[in-house]
Amino acid sequence: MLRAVFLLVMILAVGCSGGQAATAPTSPTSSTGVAPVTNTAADTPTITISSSGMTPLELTIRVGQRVTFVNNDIRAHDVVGGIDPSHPDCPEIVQMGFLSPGQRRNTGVFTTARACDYHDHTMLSVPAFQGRIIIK
Amino acid sequence: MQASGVSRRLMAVVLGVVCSVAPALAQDAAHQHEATSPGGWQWAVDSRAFVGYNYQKREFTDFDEVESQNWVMTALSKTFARGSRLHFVGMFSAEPWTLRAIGSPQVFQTGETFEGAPLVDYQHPHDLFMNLGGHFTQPVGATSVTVSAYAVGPAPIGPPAFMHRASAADNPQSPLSHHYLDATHVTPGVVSISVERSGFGLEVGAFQGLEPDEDRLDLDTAALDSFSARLSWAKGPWQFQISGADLKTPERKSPYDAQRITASASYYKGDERRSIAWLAAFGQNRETFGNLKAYLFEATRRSGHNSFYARAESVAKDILDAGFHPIGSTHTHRQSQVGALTLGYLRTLSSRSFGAIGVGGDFTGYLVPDNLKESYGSPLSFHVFVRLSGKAGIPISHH
Repeated sequence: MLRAVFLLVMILAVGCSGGQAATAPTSPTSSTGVAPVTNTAADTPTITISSSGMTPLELTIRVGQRVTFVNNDIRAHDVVGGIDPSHPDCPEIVQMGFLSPGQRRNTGVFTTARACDYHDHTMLSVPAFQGRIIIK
Repeated sequence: MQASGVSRRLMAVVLGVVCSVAPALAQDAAHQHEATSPGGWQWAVDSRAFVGYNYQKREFTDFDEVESQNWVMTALSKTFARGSRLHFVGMFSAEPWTLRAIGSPQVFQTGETFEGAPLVDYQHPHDLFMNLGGHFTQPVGATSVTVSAYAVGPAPIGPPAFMHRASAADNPQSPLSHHYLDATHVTPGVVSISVERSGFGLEVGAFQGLEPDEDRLDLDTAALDSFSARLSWAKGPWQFQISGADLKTPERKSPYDAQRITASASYYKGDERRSIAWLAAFGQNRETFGNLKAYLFEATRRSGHNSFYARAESVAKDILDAGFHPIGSTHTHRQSQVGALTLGYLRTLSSRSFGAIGVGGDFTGYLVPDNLKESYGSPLSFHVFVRLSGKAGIPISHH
């Protein structure tokens, strides 16, 4: 009996796996189906992280806005303000940090007109993972 | 060389089966004995493959995978008139094809890189060449002296690698403490010498400290720039070891050296049909960014066709700062003490002199520290799998 149960589980599992190594996080939600509380209003500018890099690499926003980072990759990313770890900058971005696959998080409110560079701590020196937010 | 989708899954199944139907050695290193009588060349093959379904429930995105963890170990040895022995080992894995290049999804697993970035939440595939080398043992009275040289092989630190441990033989997952205890089982370039007497052993070795690169099909070559020593004692079913290593830039994402210390106690009693095996181990990586500790306990109980296994771990991970660090960047990493408990069962369906087939499954729950709760929530994982093992030739020790 036990043997039959395990065989059935194996067959169902293999048959239903869908062939994806990881479920593409195209619609990030929490496990309960509820959007994380850190989500912002719909008009918040968004930067999407995928396996090929950040999109867009350069984003222009208004003073007083936040930016939402969404990790659509199958691996974690770590968004940090500044062009590299030796030049930390823009505390609004520094508070971003670690993003699991599917996770989205907001920056702080940008209160000063300036340009903020940021980089992915896990993909250092990869241009596709280094971007800039221009606050006007 | 990568495959994806249906073709990769089929390849996982086919290669997993091929790996295991190859004739092989005894299943458990813990109760193997080395040939000691003089004679001609003797050979042996040992293999194991898990082919199964891996499901990882995460906070934002679940992961699932059909995959195979597998290896084949071949050995060739000759014992000479005065008891000296020459022994060659070749160990291979098809994981470069049966796992995705990024590896097997596993919550909180770390170690090595993919596309230049540190791996987080994935167990890396093992290289095609896991062991390639040999050793020569010369008895001197009641003492035996062994000189080893491997193009790829185990550095003398830590307990035996998880895939060689009787306490982990039925568990397809790598321990979260793998890179704190036994990750140097696949070290590119190792020379060592060991002395053994009355169950006491002392080994010292020089090896390449840098972890394997992302090319899973090549042989990495570099200077033997790291050193380790291991003191061990074995008596009856008990084995103990303490060891330490000075590792030259072990991580590709960091320009800094590290030290590793480990201690373990293990117990094995029984035979292939009925046995109890367990291991308790401690490992610590001493890095520029902080000291990371790992505690591991695992056990396997076999009784006839039934095998029950468990693994409990508490491991300090620096996931939140797992990025690259140029020279001069030496800030202390934030640590996250994660916990994992795995309970599993394997049912052997058929067992013959040349191998066995069984089906099994396991479930893992995790303790998530406060600083990871927002990103990880309450993850869970389970595996269901077919386990194939094969053996042929004389039993020869894995080490």
